[in-house]
Amino acid sequence: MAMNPRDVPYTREEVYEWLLEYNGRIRDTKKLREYLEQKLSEKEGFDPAAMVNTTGHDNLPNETSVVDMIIMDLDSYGFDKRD
Amino acid sequence: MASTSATDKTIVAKGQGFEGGVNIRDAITQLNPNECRRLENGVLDERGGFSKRLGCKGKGTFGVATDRVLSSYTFYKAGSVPQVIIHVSDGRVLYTNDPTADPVVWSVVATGQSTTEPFSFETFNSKCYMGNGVNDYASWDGTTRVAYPSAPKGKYLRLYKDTMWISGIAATPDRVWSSAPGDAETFPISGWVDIAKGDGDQVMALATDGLYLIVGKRNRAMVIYDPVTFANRVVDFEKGFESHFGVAQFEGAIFYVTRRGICMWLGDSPSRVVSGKIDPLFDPNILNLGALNRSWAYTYENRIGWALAEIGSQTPTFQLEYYPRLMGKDNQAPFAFQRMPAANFTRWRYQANELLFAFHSGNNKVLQAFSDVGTDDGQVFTTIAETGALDFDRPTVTKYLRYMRMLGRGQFNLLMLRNFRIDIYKTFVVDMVSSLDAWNPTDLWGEGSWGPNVLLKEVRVHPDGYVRFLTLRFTDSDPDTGSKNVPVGSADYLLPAGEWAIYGYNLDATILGVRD
Repeated sequence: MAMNPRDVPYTREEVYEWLLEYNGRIRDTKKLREYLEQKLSEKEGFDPAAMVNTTGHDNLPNETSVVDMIIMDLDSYGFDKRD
Repeated sequence: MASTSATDKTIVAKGQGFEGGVNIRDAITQLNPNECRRLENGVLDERGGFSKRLGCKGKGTFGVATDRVLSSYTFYKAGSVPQVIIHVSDGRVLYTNDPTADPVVWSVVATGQSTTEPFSFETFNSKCYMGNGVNDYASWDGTTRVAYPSAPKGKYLRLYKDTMWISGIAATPDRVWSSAPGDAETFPISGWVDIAKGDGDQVMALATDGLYLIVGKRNRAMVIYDPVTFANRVVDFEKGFESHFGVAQFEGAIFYVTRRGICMWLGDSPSRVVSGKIDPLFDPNILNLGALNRSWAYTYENRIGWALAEIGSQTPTFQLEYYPRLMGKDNQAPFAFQRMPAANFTRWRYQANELLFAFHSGNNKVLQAFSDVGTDDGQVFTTIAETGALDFDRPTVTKYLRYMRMLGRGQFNLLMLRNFRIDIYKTFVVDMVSSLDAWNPTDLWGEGSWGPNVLLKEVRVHPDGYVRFLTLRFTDSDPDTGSKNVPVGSADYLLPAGEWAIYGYNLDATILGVRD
């Protein structure tokens, strides 16, 4: 069952640190995705393929992966998929 | 037209006051008897009457002469004196613990912030949070500022359901972020939602009525009605929000600035435009519609005000005030204009004080609006109330104006204009000033002012004029202040007020017949 958007047990602060760490590496969404999945898997009991309930999003399917939610929101961290 | 009673030759017309406010929409002959064509720098503080407003008292400066306040906020913290916080165009965020001091002393919250993008502020968990779309989202607890570089750098903050909501990042103009419930400093990684993604519009404001988070775009308005799943829907398809800072709550309702006028939020129904009588104001030849995003709302006493920019100005040049409590039988409440030299405002309440602070639009001065002075920071201002064209229900015939009686206080000029002409036909100085030293037992005969004295006075003038249509203009630019009496049972209280007020007028005229 998909988690509600605010129930994902990671915060932007953690992701921000990961992105700082990743900055300067290969500019490739696939590589970034692998990197984020690896980071997400570090928390015990958390499935990096976990899905988020996105029924409230009119432009997304009913469920979206956590990694996709991060990648779609990269701009707001001050990073860009092109960085 | 004023109400009249007439015999064959005599007309006695009774003015119906000013409670209809200003009406610039209707033709001059179609105004209701209680409406005005011009209404500026006065207040409708007593139903039906019109008083000159009080002025703006200078409270010192901040920074250098070219600095301006971009945004302001009062930070309330239980058990402490509320701080006034300002974001200044030199990139500093300043605060004061005592805005009543003269001059106000400012201390620094932060430096090196944006010099153009105003901070939006919200209070939660005894901290003030701020964001402007450029600088890091940050908190301020009254002494310490903490920045959160990982938080969304949004322009607009709003607290809803114990959660901080943020929007206004240029790259994702449809997106709204949510903090963790009860924690405005932690943001879940998937705590965001796009509202009407890709509709070509952008979020201009966040607001809340308690039930919903209102997401206002320029052309329409949506609500998030479920803070858990972010479920949302459109509420108004054709009236959007222009300014996050132009949203005000008053008397249980939310009022805000749209491209089409001032709107009242109705929850589940499309909003109602309440500013029909001033429709022509929202014209690109009058208002700088491109600067509506900097319009600024305030509430004070019995009214809401909005500082708006006229064409040619990027910063507000006048204020539009609205009186919801004076709702008339036609379900419309009055508007009036003010021309205070202020671009934005914050109301400050502490102990017995409730003050409205304003920030000068043309220099780096702090002002206390509606203070006990008769000028705006030392500059005289002109008050004006001008009726529509009165015809005494006899539009075709000429009338001879015999007498006019006025009830009011203070001193002002009465100008009469006739038959839609712009030149002044008659001028009278109306003196209803009360003398304060009446019945002083130490006065000698012939000294001081003797005799019974009242705050309200009635005067009679003899117009000796011939009109078909008559326009009355009450005006002055005197720097004095006055008082008004408020009876509380057997006790009378004299409150500071503008120098003069007009509460009513009667006209006595004779019909002369048709003239060329």
